[in-house]
Amino acid sequence: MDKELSLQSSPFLTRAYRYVVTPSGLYYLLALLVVILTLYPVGTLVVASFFTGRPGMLGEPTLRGYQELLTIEGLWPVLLNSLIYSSILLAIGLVVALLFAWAVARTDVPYRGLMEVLIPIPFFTPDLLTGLSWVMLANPHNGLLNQWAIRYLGTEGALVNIYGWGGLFFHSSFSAIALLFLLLIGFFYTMDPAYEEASVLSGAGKYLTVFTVTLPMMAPGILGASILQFIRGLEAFENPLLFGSQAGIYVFSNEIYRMVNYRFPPQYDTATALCVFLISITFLLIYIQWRVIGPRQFTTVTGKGYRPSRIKLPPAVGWSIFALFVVYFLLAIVVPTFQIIASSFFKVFGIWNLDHLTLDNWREVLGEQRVMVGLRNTLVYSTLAGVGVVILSGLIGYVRVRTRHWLGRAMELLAWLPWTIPGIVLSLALLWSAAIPPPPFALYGTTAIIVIGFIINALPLGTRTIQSAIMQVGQELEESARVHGASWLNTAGAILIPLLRLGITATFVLVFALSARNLTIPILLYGPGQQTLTVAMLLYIEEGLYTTLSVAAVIQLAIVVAILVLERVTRPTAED
Amino acid sequence: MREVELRDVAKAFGPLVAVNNVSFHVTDGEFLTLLGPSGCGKTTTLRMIAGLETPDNGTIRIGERVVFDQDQLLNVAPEKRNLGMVFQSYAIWPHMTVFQNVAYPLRWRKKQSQRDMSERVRSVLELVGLQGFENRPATKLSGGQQQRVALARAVAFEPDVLLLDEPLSNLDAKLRDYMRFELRAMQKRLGTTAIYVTHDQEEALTLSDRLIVMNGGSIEQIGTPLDVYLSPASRFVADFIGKTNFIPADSLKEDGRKENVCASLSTFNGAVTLRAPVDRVRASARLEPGSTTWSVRPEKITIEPAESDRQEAPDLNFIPGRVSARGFLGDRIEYLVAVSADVSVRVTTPPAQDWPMNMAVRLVFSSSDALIFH
Repeated sequence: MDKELSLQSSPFLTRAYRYVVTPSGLYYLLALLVVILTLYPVGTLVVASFFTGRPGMLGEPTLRGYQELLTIEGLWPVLLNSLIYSSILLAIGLVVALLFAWAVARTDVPYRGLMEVLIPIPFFTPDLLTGLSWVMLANPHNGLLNQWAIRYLGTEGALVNIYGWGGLFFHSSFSAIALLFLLLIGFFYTMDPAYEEASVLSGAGKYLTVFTVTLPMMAPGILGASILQFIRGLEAFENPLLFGSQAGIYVFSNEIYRMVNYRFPPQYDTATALCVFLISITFLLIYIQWRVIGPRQFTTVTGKGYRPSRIKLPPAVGWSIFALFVVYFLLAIVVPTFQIIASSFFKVFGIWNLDHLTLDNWREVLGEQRVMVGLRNTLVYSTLAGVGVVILSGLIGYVRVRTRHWLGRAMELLAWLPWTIPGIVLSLALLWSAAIPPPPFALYGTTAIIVIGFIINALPLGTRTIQSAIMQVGQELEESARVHGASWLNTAGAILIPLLRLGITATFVLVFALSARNLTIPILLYGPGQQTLTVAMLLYIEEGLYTTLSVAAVIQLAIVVAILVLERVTRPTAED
Repeated sequence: MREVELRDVAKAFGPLVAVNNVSFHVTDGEFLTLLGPSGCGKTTTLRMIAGLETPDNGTIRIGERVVFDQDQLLNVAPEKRNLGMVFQSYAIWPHMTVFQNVAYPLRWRKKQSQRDMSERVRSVLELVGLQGFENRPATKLSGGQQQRVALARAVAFEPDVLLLDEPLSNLDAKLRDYMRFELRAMQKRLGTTAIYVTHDQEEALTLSDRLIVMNGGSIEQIGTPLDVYLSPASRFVADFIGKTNFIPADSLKEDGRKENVCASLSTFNGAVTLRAPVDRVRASARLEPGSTTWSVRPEKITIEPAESDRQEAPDLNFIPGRVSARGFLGDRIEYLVAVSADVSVRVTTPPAQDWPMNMAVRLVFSSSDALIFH
C-alpha cells in the first residue's frame, strides 16, 4: 500500500507523487469509471427526455415528450395497466407463496423436502424461455393445444388464448411465486415457535394462530418481499412483450419498446420521458423498501435456529397442497421444457407423429447463420461481461472492505444503483449515452456497448457476491503476508486470489448467467451480426419459425442448465 | 541494535484519536508489553510499528533505520521492515501446508536454496514442538497448533523485532497459562526484541521486562511489572492492574510529622484519620485541593476483631466496619466490609481467617500501602 519514498528534493513533487501514484489516486480513477458506468447513462437519459432529438443528435430543448405523455400518448392507461399487472401478480404470488412456504416450513405436507428444492426453480429459469414455449403451446392461431383441440376434441376456433391478461398473469405468476417463496421461507423457519405455542396455550388453536400470530409477526418481512416483487412487476419486460403486446396490453416496458422500435420515426422524446416516470416510481418504492427492511435485498434469514413443531395437516389438506405444487411445477417447468425439446425433433410444428421424428431441424439450425452467430455472441458477450464484472467489482469490493477511504462506500452505493434501473430503461439510456462522446469513445452500434450493458446490469449482484467473499478472507491473512516480506502484488497473487477462488468463480458464473438470459439489453442495442441467442429467439417467434425456435431454445436451455450446475458446484461451502 | 523507538506518534481515525503522541523506546532483547483496555490504542500502536497503519505524525525507528517519518514523507512498506508478527487470529493461510506457511517469509526475504529452507523450517518447527507436521494442511490443526505455526512463521527468518498482537487470547485458559511461559522462554532463547499487545494484566505482568499501560490513546505509565503494580502512577493504572479499593476521604492535611499527610474518613463509628507518607500522594491529588481517593489493594488489608487491643501507630491505618458479604474462593476468602453507609472495602485473606457475617471488625493496613489520588 505504502511506497517507500524519500524524494526530499521537492515537497510539492513528493506530495503530488503521493496523491497521484499512491492507491488514493487509483481509487479516484476507479471511481470515475464507476460513475461513467452507473450515473452517466441514466443522467444522459434524463437530459435527453427534455430534447427533441434521437441518439447522436440531441436536437432542440423541448417538453414535448412529457406533454404528449400527459395528453395524446396516454400515460394514464400505461400507468394503470402497470399498476394492475404488478398488484394482481403480487396478490397471486403472495397467496400461493405464503401457502407453500408455510406448508413446507411448518406442516407435515407430503414431500416437503422435494417441494422446497423445486418451488424456487422457476425464478432461475429465464421467463423468455418458458414464455416462448407457452406461446407455442397456447397461441390462438396455431398453438399446439389449440391444434390438438381441433383435431381430437373437434372444437371450433381456439380453445385457449395465451394472449391477454389471463395468459400474462398465468405465466408471470410462476417466477413471482418462486421468488416470494425464496424470500419468505426463511421467516417461517427462523420464527421462535414459543410465540405460537403461547398463542395455542391461550386457546387460539393452531390454525387461528397462523392468522393471529404467525402472519402478523412476519408482516415486516412480507412487506419487504412484496415491495421487491412489486418493483419486479413494474420492470418486467419479457412477459408483457410476449403475452401483452399481442392483445394490446401495454405496460411501461413494452410501451417504451414499442415507441422506440415500432413507431416511425421512433418517438425518443416520449419514450425517454416515460423512462423518467418509471425510474421515479421504482426509486420511490426502493426508498420505501429501504426504510422498511433496510438495504439488504436478497438476504433471507438463513440458518434454522429453531426446530418448530410441525402442524399435522389432515391428509386431504396436505395432499391438496401437494397437488397444487405438482400443477404449479408441471405448468411452470415440465410442460414448457418438454414441449420445446419435443418440438425440436419433429418435422412439422404441432404434428407429433413418431414417423416425423427427425434431426433435420438440428442439422438445419446448426448450419444456419443466425442461431450460430447468436450462440457465439451470447457466449462471448457473457464471458467478457463476467470477466469485466469480476475485475471491476473485485476492485470496488477491495477498496470498500480493506480501506477506510470514503470512495469505498461511495463506489459501493454507485455499484448498487443499476439495481433500481429497469432493463429496458438501461438499454435506452445506453443507446443515447453511447452516441454522445466523440470517436474513439463513441460506442454506438459497437459490440462493446452490449457487453458494457451486461456489466452494468450485473454489477449490483456481482459486487455484493465478491464483496462478501472478500469479507470472509480475514484481513490478518493479508497483513501477515505483508509483514513477513511479500509486497502488495505478491500478497494478492499468493494469498488473496487463491483464497478468493470460489468467490471469483461464483461471481463469474452469476454474471454469465444473468447476461446469457438477458433480452432487454441487446434488444435495443444490437446491430447486424450482433444479435444474441435471446434476440434470435424473439425474431423467430415473430417470423413464426417454431421448429427453428425450438432448437434455439433447447440450446439456450442447455446453457442455463449448465450454468445452474456450475453454480452448484462452485458455490462456496462452509468449509472453505 | 534491534531497538525500537517511537517519537510523538499519533493516529486518528476520522474524529476518533486512536493514538495521541506516544513516545517510547524498546531496548535490544527486551520483552515490552502494551497493556490497556480495548480501544486504548495499543493495537493501533503495534500496527503502526508493523507498517499496517500509517501514522498521522511522528517518527518510528527500528534498529538503525527510520521506517516512518512524517516530516520527510518517509514510510517503509511493511514487507521491508524485517519484522515477524503473530496475529490475534493467527492468520495461518488455509490454502497452504504448515511447511508452506512457515517457509513463506523465507521465500520472499532470504534467497536461499530449497535445502537450506527446509532445514530452517524443520528447526523452527522443532523449536515450537511441531516437528513432523510439515505436510499437514493448515486447516487440520488445533487452535494451539495453529498458534505455534504462527509463532514459527514469525521467527523463521530471524526478524529484528517480533510483534505479538494478543496471540494467546484465542486459546483456552489452561493452554494459555502454559503457552505464556513457553513464549517467554523462547523469546529469551532467541534473544529477539519483542513487543506484545494484550488486555490481560496477568499476561502482561508475567511476560514482560517492562510494560506500558495505555488509556484513551495515551501512555499512563511505563515501568517494570513490579513498579506498575506496587506504585501505579494514576488512578486508572491502579484500577486496571490488579484489584484495588478506592476509599473516598476528605481533603489532605498536614500531619504532625513532616513526611506524612492525613485525611479524615467518616465511618459508622465516627471519623477516623488516614495517614500516608508524602511520596504516596499522586500528582493529581497534590495539584487539586478537595476530597481525595485512597487506593489500597485488598490483599494489603488485614481484618481483626473490633475489640483488638493493638495500639494505634503512626505507620498503620485503622478503619472500623462490619462484615457485609463473604465468598470462599478456595485459595482465599474475599470479604466486603461496610465502613459507612456508602463505602465498602474489599479484603482478601487466607482461607484460615474466617470471620462471620455482620461481625464488627477493624481493618488494618500499612500507611505506605495506600496511594492517594484526586
